[in-house]
Amino acid sequence: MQQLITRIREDADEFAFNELYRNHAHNFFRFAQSFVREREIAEEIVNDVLVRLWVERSKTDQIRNIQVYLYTSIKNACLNHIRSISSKRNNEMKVTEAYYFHLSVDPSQILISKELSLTMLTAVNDLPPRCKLIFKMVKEDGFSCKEVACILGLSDKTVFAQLSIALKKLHTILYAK
Amino acid sequence: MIESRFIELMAKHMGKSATPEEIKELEEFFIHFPEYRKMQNFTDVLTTEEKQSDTLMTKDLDQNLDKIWKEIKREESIVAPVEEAKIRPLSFLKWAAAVLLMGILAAVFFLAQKPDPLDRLALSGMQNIYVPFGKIRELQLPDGTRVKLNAGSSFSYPKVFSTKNRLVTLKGEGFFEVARDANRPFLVHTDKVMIKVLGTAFNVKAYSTDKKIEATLLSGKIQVGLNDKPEKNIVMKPNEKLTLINKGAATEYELEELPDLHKDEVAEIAWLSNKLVFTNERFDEVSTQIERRFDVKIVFENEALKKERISGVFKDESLEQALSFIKMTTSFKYRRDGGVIFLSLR
Repeated sequence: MQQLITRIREDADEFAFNELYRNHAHNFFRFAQSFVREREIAEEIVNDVLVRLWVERSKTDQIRNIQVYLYTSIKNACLNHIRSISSKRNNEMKVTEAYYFHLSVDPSQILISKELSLTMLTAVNDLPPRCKLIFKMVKEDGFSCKEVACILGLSDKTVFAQLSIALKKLHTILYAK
Repeated sequence: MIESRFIELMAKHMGKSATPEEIKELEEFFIHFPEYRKMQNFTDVLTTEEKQSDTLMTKDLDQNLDKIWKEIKREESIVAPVEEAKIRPLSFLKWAAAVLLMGILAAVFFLAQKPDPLDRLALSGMQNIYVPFGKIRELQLPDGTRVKLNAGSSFSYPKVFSTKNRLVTLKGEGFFEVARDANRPFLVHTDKVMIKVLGTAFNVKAYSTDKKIEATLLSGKIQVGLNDKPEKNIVMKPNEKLTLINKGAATEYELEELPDLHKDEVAEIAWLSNKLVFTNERFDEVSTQIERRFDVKIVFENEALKKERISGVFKDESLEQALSFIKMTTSFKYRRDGGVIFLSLR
């Protein structure tokens, strides 16, 4: 991603921008959808953030972690949108149920029984939305606890605690007997 | 006790905040309590579900990109962005000053706009098309001209052509069959050259990532003007190929006649029938064409490999087949990592 950003900044390379978009738009949309429910609005918000990235590409050399920057911008834009449509002042971050987990391989290929893995799957899907979002960002987007904390505007401790809650729940199911 | 320490270590490991000692401790955990591996095993295969709507989305990505570029062009055409000021009662003098300032800004805006006809066109209904890697797109313009665009090309044209000319912009490669209209020349604008046509079939290859620009004329007559030397015009006759080589500040050009071949065999337009034709071309030039055709990224791990010469014709081959054919004549090995192909010496 950093390489693409350099090409965008130094050569105004439109292909690099398109590549960046194609590679990440998917994840950006899903992330935006964890704040705004509607897909169309999520897409619009992400597109706006990327228009700004191009228009202000000359300033990107001041950004240390571009991925964290983009996710943070998307989150802020989502919260602004929510504030603009709700009548009362609402500064609290509400996370929607945007993620559903599933197993990427046949349960027979993992070391635990099919029933057990299904129970665990249900357990992950039943986690509170915010906890699920954090679990997802760490697991799949490859962010560290610190980065997730930075993006969501939470403390490192909170993020770590949420992640532990998710793991603890799985652990209890696995070793209940 | 052991449990909570294990969860702490797992969380730290996942959240990338574990110290090397803690990672070692976690590994020891797994050795002493193999049972605990199940947990890692489970989280490893856990992924978020792709909803159906998400996979359908891939097609719409390009539509979204078109929208984004339109928006960017619109934003960039606004010259001095005036900061949004809070509305507050102004004294008469301030109003007067504000009106004057707006007059000046408007003047600056129009003066800045005037010299460049492209910008004015961009403001009035332009169609922008981007052809993703691995695709070829065909379209018909409002005047009846047919254009076929190769992978990785951006093309824009007005929804309605002006009465004086038909101006289009191209970054990439396109084959044009221009509808005849002697009163309105057809103009193809690229980064480095401007091509003027009356009615003809020709191919332009002007990717901004390539060092060379090529124009191949099959029938009719075209005139090529260099953007940095407006006084220099090159008139091309049928079956001629013009190559422009970008050498820093100066642009060199070379006009050559194509051997008398059947239309299907002209390498320059082989892409029209989904073929890739290489005749003694450098490997790095070949690789950029493969990148566009198969939508992959190719990385040379050895500089020397770039200079190898490649010849061959590919039509329906898969990427793997194409690479293994090239391997028959050129000694190299490759490995694939997702969308990236790494080439190195054997």
